[in-house]
Amino acid sequence: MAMKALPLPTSPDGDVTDAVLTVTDLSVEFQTEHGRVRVLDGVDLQVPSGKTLGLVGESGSGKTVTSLAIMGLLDRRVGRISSGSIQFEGQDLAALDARQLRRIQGAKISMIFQEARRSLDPVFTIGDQIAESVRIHEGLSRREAWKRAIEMLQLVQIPDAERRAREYPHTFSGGMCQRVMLASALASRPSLLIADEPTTALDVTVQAQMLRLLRTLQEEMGLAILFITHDLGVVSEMCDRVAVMYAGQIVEEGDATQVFGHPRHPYTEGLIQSLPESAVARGRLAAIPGSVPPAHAWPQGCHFADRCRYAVDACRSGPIPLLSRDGSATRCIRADELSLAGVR
Amino acid sequence: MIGAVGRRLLLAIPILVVVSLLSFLLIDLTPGSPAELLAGEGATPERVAELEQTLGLDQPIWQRFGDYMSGLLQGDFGTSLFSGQSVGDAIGAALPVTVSLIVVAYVLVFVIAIPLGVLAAVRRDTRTDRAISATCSFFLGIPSFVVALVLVILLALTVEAFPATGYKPLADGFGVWLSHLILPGLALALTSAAEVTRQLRGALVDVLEQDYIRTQRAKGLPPLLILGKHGLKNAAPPVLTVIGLQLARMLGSTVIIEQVFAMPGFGALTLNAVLQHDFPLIQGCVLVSAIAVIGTTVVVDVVEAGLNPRLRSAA
Ligand SMILES: Nc1ncnc2c1ncn2[C@@H]1O[C@H](COP(=O)(O)OP(=O)(O)OP(=O)(O)O)[C@@H](O)[C@H]1O
Ligand SMILES: [Mg+2]
Repeated sequence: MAMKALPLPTSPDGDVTDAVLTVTDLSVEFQTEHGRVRVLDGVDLQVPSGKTLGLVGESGSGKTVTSLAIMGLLDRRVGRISSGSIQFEGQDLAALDARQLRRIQGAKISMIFQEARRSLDPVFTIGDQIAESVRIHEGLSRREAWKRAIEMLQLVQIPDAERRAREYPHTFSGGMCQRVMLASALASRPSLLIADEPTTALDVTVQAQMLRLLRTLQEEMGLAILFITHDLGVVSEMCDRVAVMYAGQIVEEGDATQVFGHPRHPYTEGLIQSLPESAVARGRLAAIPGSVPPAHAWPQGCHFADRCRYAVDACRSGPIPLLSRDGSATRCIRADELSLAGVR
Repeated sequence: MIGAVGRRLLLAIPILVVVSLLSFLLIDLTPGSPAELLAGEGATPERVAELEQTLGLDQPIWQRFGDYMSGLLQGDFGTSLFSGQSVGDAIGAALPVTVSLIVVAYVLVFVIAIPLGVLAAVRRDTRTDRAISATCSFFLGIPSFVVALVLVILLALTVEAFPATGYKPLADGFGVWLSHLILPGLALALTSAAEVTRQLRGALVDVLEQDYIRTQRAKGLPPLLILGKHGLKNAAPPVLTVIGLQLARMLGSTVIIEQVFAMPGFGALTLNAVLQHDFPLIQGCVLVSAIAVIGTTVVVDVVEAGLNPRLRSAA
């Protein structure tokens, strides 16, 4: 378990940039049929303000749980934050009650999801759905809120915004629904956007347009983004920094180009080698053998040891801390002796 | 939208004709002729035959049905065989009683089922939810006349909070009117309330687990707004269907409930008509019930279409 916070990320010219969100030692437990199970185990994250942090990892590694925990959206009946802090604009979100959290949700931190169409209420017009959160957060009148909704739809480049605001989600395509979600998420000018696989369900061209739009808006609004995906290609295109997640832990964190060029954790190397282009380049399919073990069956030592071709006895002897050096971090005790292959 | 309603109403006409025809056939197949009853015990066969002729019962059924239908078209429901009163007047006198009863019952269904259904859904899988669900099963399992008798014993005879029997028109004052309707209304409402509670709980649990509800939470909307606006509007359609279906159930139950509470309503009128083989009156009662039930379905459909933008744009 990593007890010390990560060093602040540094910008290319060496200046220390400030982080808008700092997650420290975040653990989340769920009540399951296996009893109380820890699905996040000491997660550390920093999202630099105005920049993008990519969070990558296989299915089941805990990316969505991390984002829901940050947003205060864990289903309280089964899940809870058991330790850690979530520092955002001078407050620890993990310590806030539901009412205090509501002042931040959708106002200062917003979230968009994978299935945009299913994330919109089918029985209200999209204009109404965008307007209602600015009415709550900013106390705008009905008319002002509607005006804002239309401005937001124009901002996310939805043609004929005034007319479309009066329409229902089923008349929009998947890509358009995601734009609507984005319009709604950004309506109160948040400083952080959490995007949980926002383009995974979209086809390639629509995905590219969406990413371009996100980057444009990020620059215009000085928005920080926590971008969750399991598509490394998207990460290298979108993200300044990247955190690699495996079985409830961050296993590597650092500057995106650095991490992909010179991974310092065998799991990251495995992910890179699973990319279709590197598989072709090497003439073999180098997927990581096996799959993420379920949370109740995580090993005592390195969570990845059982699937790792570099594992030695020491890897299994006890919890492995996240070790940081020069603005990056790895949870591998052999990081210095291994020379792992990156993207070429 | 208007066109859709018009179409539904046009469609109702053949349904009503078929319903009338079926009840005509049923009455014809029932053993015992009203003429025998009218003539009294020990009457000669000649006397019965004579009466049958006066009543037109010697005519073939298709002719009687034709006469009846042409009467209906002129707004004539026929005349009761026994009281000699016009069927329209008899029903007109009884209907306010039953309409009052059903209105009160429906209000009670809403007052009971909406809070309980919402509470059970919000507290799903907790002890509260299970208690509500068990209560619903209980009331769905016992017949409404048993509820009626228990209510009379407890609240009319033991505590004397409400009158045990009778009906007072609204003209006698709202309080008097209502006090006579609370117990029969409750007896009528409880089964329906249990049914609606269950439906509402199920539909709302479904909705609350949808992605778009998580979105509303992510938007920072207060829980009551999410529940009342996004939750209920999405959960409403299946519940409205069930609420509509309760009318037919309640109409059936009034037959017994009006006996228990000695109310001169539509249920009592129908029961007597059937017991006496008073076929013009039976016909009238069947027709009015069918109109009420079909009318409710149309209203429910229209409200549901209003709630669902996809249906609305299709209509
Ligand atoms: N409500 C819940 N109850 C119990 N366990 C849960 C619950 N939600 C998530 N989990 C568990 O938490 C772990 C992490 O799940 P999570 O959804 O965060 O993965 P993910 O990285 O987002 O995967 P994906 O790429 O498939 O979205 C999984 O083992 C999952 O089974
Ligand atoms: Mg996920």
